[in-house]
Amino acid sequence: MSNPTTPFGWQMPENTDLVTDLPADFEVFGQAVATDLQYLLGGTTGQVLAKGSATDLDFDWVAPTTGDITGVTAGTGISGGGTSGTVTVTNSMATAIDAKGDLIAGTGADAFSRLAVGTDGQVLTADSAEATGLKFTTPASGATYVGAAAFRNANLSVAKNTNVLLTLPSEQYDTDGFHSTVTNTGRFTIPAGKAGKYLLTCFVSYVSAITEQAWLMLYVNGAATTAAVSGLSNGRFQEFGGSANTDAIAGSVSYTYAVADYAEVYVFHNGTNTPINIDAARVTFDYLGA
Amino acid sequence: MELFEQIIEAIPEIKATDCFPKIGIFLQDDSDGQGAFIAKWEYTKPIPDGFILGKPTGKKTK
Repeated sequence: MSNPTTPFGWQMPENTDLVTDLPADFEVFGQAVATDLQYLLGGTTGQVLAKGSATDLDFDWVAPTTGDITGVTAGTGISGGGTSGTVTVTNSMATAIDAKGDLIAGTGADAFSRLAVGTDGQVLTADSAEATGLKFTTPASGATYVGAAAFRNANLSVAKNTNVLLTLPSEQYDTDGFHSTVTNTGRFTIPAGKAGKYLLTCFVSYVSAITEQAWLMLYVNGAATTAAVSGLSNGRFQEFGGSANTDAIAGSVSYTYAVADYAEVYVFHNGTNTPINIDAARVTFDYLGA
Repeated sequence: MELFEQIIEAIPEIKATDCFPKIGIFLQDDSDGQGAFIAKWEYTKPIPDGFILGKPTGKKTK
C-alpha cells in the first residue's frame, strides 16, 4: 500500500516514525477517513445515496425515484411485453404478413387476419361472406355490348322536299329486341331495363348524286327532336349542302331515351324533282349507359 | 304528281328550287304506303284549299 493511500490520499504512519508518534499519526489518519466519509452518515430506511455534487465523496441520502413504467403489456396488434428485464414487443400485424402482396384486413372489432394476395389480374372485391369481408376475384371480361344494327339494301324512294322515314327491313344484330324486321322496321325501341343514352349512327347511299341540300333527322316517338339535341332544328343531326360528286350522307347523334321510347331516322333532300332512290342504308343503335 | 309539286301548283310563288322546311312547309312520308302528307304548316299563307294538315290526307279533295 502506498502512503498516502491510493486513491483516497489518507496519510499513514511512516516506517521511520517513532512509536511515540503513532497515536498522533493515527489521529491524523482517522480524521482524514472520517472527514471523507462524513456524508455516509445519516439517512433513513429506504433512502439511497445520490451524488451531492461533482466533488469526490460528496453524497446525499435521498428517497429513490419510483420508475414511471413498471411493465409493458401487449395490446391489440402487439405481442410480447413484460415487467422486468429487457422487454420486447412485436407488431403482430406485421408478422402476420407472409408474402409479397399480403394484406391485413379486419375480421371484426379489434380483430384482423391475413388476406393473401390474389393471382395476377385479379381485383379486390367486397364480399360479406368472407371472414375479412374481402376477396380477390377475376374481373369479368369486357363490358357486354348492347345495341342493334339494321340495314336495307333495296331501294327506298325519297320524294323531294319530304321527310321520309328510313325503313330498315334487315338486321345485322340485335341484342335486346330493339328492332323488328317485320313491323315498324324503321324503329329502335328501348326495352325494359335499358333506359339511358344511346348513340345512333346512320349511313345512307343514294343511287345518284345529291346535288342540293340533304339531311338526316332524328325522330323520337314520332316527332322530330329539337335543336337541343344536335344544334339543328327539325331533328337534323346531319346536313349536307349538295355536290355533283356525292351520293351518300352519314351522321350520328346521341340522345337520352326512356323505356318504350323509339328512335327513327327520316331522310330529306331538295335535289331533283323526281324522287331519288336510296339503294342502301345502315343504322346502328348503341347503348352508351344509363 | 308528288305532294310538293301539288303545293307549288297551288301556290305559284313557291318555286321548285325552294327548300320547303326553310319556308315553313313540312311534308312527311312514313314509308307505310300511305304517301306524303303535310306534317306542319308555318308558311306565310294558309294551307290552300283542297289540302289538309296531318296524316293521311294532304291529297287534294277537289
